Amino acid sequence: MQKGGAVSADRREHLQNLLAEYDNAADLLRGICDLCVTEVAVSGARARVLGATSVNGGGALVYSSDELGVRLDDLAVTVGLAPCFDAFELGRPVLVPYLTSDSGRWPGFTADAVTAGAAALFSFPLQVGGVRLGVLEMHRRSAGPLTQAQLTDALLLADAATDTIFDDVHGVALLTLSGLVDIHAEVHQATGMVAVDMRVSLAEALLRIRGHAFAHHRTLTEVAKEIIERRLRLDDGE
Amino acid sequence: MEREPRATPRSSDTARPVDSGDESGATAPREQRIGRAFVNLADTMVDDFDLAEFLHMLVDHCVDLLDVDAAGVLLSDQRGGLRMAAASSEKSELLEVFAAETAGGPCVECVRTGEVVASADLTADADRWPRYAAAAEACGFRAVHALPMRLRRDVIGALSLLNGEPDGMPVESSQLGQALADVATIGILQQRSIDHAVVLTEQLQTALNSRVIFEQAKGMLAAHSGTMTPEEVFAALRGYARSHHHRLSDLARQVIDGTADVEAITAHGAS
Repeated sequence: MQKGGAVSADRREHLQNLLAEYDNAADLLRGICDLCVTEVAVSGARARVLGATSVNGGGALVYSSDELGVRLDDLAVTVGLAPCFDAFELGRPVLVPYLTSDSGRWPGFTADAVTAGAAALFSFPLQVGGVRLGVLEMHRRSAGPLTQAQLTDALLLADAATDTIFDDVHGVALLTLSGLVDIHAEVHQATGMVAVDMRVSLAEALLRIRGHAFAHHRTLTEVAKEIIERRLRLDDGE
Repeated sequence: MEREPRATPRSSDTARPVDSGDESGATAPREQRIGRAFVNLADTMVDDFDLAEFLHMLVDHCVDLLDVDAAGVLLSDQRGGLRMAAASSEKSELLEVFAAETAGGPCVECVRTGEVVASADLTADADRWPRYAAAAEACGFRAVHALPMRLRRDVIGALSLLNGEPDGMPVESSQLGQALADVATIGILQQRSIDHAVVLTEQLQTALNSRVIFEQAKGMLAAHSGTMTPEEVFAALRGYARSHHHRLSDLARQVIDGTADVEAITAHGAS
């Protein structure tokens, strides 16, 4: 919980510094998964992109830090019911510190995952409200919960992965860590308005707003306020 | 899958907001309403428990029972920051968002210390929280009581009680407010408490994501209506959810999925 905001601010900066050396999305995602291993003390981590509508079809494993991650991903896709899909569908982390005692939740997945060597799974959705991009899942060969500090790092790394995938999918410059998750309420409202006005997805709408802000050297919040007040309307030429 | 991501009718009467206009509403004697509030807030052991919805109920109870103009909740984002999670009105929502984003003010201090932080007159206390006091005044508030939502060492957020006039809030009101915050916190932390740290994380992060979905849905409805502001949509969405017994977060998700009756929702605001 709230045991020292300053500590977490330091963690954010610490992780940001460690990721600063990467300058493209693929390397950044690799770096994020590897940082899960060193900073969150899990055995491995993987990033999976998922389509907004089809759980099993529209997706791809982007990177896995180890072989067990590849195996778990394969299992999840094969069975179709797994923690990573739940995290994506429910829009929240799915934390399974004791996988063996959770056998009823994901029939067909759990037993094979345990046999493969996983004892704990921590799945984090990569999304900004209705902008749903994928999942970052960490696995550990020993059972037990994440500590508070590990959870904070895991959430910050998931934020970074969200930004990275969003930017990569849409081909724009990389944001700083937590850029998307920290944006103001007005930006989310404007995203909804632009999605309806332009008949595009929420992800596309957010991209258009960011593109406009970037092109006109203005902040996201300024642009969003003008959209909400109907003083600015983005059109197809943007 | 634990929860069907569709708006479903409420399964029990106890989950309904206090001012839904039925016989259990604001016309009942106060003692009875207080009793009902505690029963509602203790009823967290349901399969489809939804923290965002639960906190909306908490702030509604506060406004109904505590002689305050508005109430709001800030929650820990588990990344070292706070987020606005529920507010009884648009003005209190603006103020809570401001406090969360600037990381300042009585509610933020309350979370940091785990103690009650109050100002009976923010104008007089302006040197202590200059930015917050100015924002509060702009939103029409002069007094605030921030009550910690804590259980033992865990502080998960703060409940802010707001008044438009400088006040000496009656001790009884402050105590009842803390009691409501306590029972809500215990309810949240013990909710299906096999592993309360896991449940708490899942609940907190769901509530934070629900807020984003809610804002996006507001924008979509505003655009559909052609003229409504997101603030007007806020009222329409809540009104529609109540009269149709939908959970607000489910309804917002339907809106962004394109499966909600947007005409009916925006029409609800016009009536």
